[in-house]
Amino acid sequence: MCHYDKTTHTHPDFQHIQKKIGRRDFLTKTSLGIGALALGSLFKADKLLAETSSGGIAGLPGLPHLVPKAKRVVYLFQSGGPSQFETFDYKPELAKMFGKDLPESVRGGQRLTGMSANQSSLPIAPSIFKFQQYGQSRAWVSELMPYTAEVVDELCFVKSMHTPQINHDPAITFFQTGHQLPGRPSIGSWVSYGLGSDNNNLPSFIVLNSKNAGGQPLYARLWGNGFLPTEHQGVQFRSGTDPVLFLNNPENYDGADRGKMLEYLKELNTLQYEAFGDPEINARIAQYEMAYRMQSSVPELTDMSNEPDYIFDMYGSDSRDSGTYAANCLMARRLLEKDVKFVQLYHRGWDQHAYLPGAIRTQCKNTDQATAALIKDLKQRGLLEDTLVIWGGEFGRTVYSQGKLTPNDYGRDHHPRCFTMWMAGAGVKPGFTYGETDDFSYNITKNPVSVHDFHATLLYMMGVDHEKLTFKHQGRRFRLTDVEGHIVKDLIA
Amino acid sequence: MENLDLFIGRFHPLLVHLPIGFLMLAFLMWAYQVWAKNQDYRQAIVFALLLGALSATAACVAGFLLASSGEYDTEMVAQHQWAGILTTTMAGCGYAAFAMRNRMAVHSRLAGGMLCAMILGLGMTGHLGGNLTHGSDYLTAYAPFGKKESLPPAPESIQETQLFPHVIRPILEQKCVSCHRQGKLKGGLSLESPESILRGGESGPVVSSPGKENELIRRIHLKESDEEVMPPKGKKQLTKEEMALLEAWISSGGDFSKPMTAYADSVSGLATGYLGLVPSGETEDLKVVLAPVRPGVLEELRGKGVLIRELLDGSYSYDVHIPAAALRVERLEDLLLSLEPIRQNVLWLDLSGLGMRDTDLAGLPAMPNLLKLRLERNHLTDRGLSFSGKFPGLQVLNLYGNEVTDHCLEELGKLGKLRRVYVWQTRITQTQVGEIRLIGEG
Repeated sequence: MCHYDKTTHTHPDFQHIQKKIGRRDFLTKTSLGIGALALGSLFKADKLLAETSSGGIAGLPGLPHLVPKAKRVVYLFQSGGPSQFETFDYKPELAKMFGKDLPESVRGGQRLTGMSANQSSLPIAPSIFKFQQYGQSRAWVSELMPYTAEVVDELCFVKSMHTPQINHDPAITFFQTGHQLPGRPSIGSWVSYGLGSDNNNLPSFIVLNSKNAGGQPLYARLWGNGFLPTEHQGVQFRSGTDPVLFLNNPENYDGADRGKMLEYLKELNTLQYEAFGDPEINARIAQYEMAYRMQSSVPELTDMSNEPDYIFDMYGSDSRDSGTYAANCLMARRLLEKDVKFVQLYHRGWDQHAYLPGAIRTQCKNTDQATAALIKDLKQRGLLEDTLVIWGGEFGRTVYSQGKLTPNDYGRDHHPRCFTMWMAGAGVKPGFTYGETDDFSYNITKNPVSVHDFHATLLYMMGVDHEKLTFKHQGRRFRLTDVEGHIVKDLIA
Repeated sequence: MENLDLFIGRFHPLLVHLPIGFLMLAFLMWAYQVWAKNQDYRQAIVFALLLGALSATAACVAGFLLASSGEYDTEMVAQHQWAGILTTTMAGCGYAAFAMRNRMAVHSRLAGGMLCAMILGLGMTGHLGGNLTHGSDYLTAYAPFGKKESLPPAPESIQETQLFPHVIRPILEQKCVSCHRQGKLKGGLSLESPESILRGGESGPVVSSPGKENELIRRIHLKESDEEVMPPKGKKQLTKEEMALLEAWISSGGDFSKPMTAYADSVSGLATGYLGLVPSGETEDLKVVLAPVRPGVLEELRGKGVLIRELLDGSYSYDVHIPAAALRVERLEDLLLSLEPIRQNVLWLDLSGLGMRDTDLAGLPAMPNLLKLRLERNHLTDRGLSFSGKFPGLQVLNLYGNEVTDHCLEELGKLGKLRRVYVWQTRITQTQVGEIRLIGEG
């Protein structure tokens, strides 16, 4: 396609750039080396990429800070704020208080959202679902999650999560990036930046969003790289035959000389990088090459023909329908098997302000079996040994009913003061429950865990000291946990 | 204005540099005049000597006031003081000799001799003064000659560490001793040696009262803007870690020789971080100290497509994965053999999905420190698993998707540290063998 001489760069494009370099060189030298100084700060980023080897992409020098317990993470994000009352935080005392106004002593003057602040009363709504204890750990699980109930002895519940954010967008942004305002890198981006990749043919941070749930929107910035180099952003796999957009060759192009074209493009870009020193050029080079390798690695991943029927049955019938939560759980296992470091799932629709019992029944039905199947499947393959599974939303829900309370129906508003998450697998105590809430699951009574603490602990599991993984941006060093976060050692096996 | 004397006294370090410059200049001009013969700098020499003598007098006065604060070792101060007074006198006499040479026919040799004596005095005074401020070994500490005080060898593990000599003393030396030492004795306190620490200073003993009433603890915790903060404003402050260590040492009685193991875990944790040792909580998997791998070996293996990740930065312990893609470049047999140079350093090894047979696995070098071995999705049979001698430390073994049966369990039972074996999709039917948990039905 392109006839050019590698050694003398006779192609006009190269000559053009080289001319520009000459001029630029002159300017750099005459401007008291300011340009050179700026370039100096970029050499580090350059070196980072230079360490790329054929077998994987190295992380930052100096890492891991600790012996990792988890090599991979799969984060099953339940977006919308799953109710703790109907899932894991069993509050039998509430049955006696059906319809009574929430005592002011419990609420403690907390500001409510505009959606329930003007209600004339805040009637207590006990869960209409039955709870039972399961496993050797005797963990309480509601009847909505029969499959999760089977794996409770693998789970490490944290019933005392809390967040300062009461609305979806800032709360999810906080959970995913460590800050409530947009613009910071996502957890997966930090992990990719710090630890690199164990599979050169797939991105180290992959995002899957269920198609079978609606509700509050999610946006690409939640898995964005923020100020980190662009190649660390999450790559979203979509449902259907074309999981990664723009990956396939255009129609009527066989792609035979794609490799050669990219090599030529890389040389051009490298010259450009040498001239301008913009690390984003390196990110672009890396992304082109990753996309090229993904042209073969992604079809291999999405070809489900080698999955036996009993595996599909295990994840539930939805798992045959690409893009559902169940299919994404199965895909997550396939990605983890290929050593993708951070797999981020999202399942929306947990935001039940009204008609909660019916809606949460559907939510659980769509997720419970596949979630449990993922745990079992990872375990039988030995992957739970070094994979951390995380389940949780951005906040919990209120003990009082939003809107009208009837014996069979009620709604619940957002509640940031306490909610339940669980983790499983590498590094966490199996069959363990941490933290306690009061009889109203309104306030934490024991061992609160903040979102920063959760992030610090998550990084610890991966061998990263959250205080040491930093990136200097706009004059100061940033961390996922910013200036906070304590490792919750009690959760660690 | 009760502290006026001290206010003036503290100008001494500033003032002393004036006579040094003036007198040195006078001496150099005279020396050049003698050497060049035909130059006449006499007027300039007289002027420089006058300025030198005056500023030296001012420095003497300020120095005397500073010394009266009593913060310095009296003997060393006395030597410095007399040397300074002598130098000032010489400067005055030198001035007189040069200024009057014409009128009183002072012998030019006498005048020159006086200048030489003055410059010697100047050097001596300066040196003694420097010793007072920086310590008598400041000048020669890094000299390529002379005998050095041997430092205790750096501990390699936290178990070998003693809190005082390895942790507390270095902190004191870096941040405190430049002022609190024999000779300078700020606040009457020297933190140079166990004896002087026991003696304490004007505010009492260092280690007697634990907690916040302790003067040292109180003052190191003040804000940097505070008048009383230690180290003083502008000096390099203690880090939080160092503060915590000092506090822990004092509140545990300020012992000078107890081993680290005698202290609470929180203290040894802090010390571990301070000394940059491998945290003891993390060493459970990495108890063995591993020898460095020969340079180039890792690069060569990576070049063959072997994935190698260091488990802990700087520990020479590795998580090694041979991906199936590497087989396109090299034969499995050769790849396994090529791990020989790092066999001591492999802690986790992933050989899953390589189509491996018993004979292939037999070629894998012995790995005494191996903890986790992934052999899933291969064609191994019971015969292939006779490796108990090769991987004595194995804790986790993944066998799923192999053709192994219950017969291999006896051999696996010999692996005393083995805890979990993944046996899904094998012909193994049991769930527990001794302490080994067999996970996943066969």
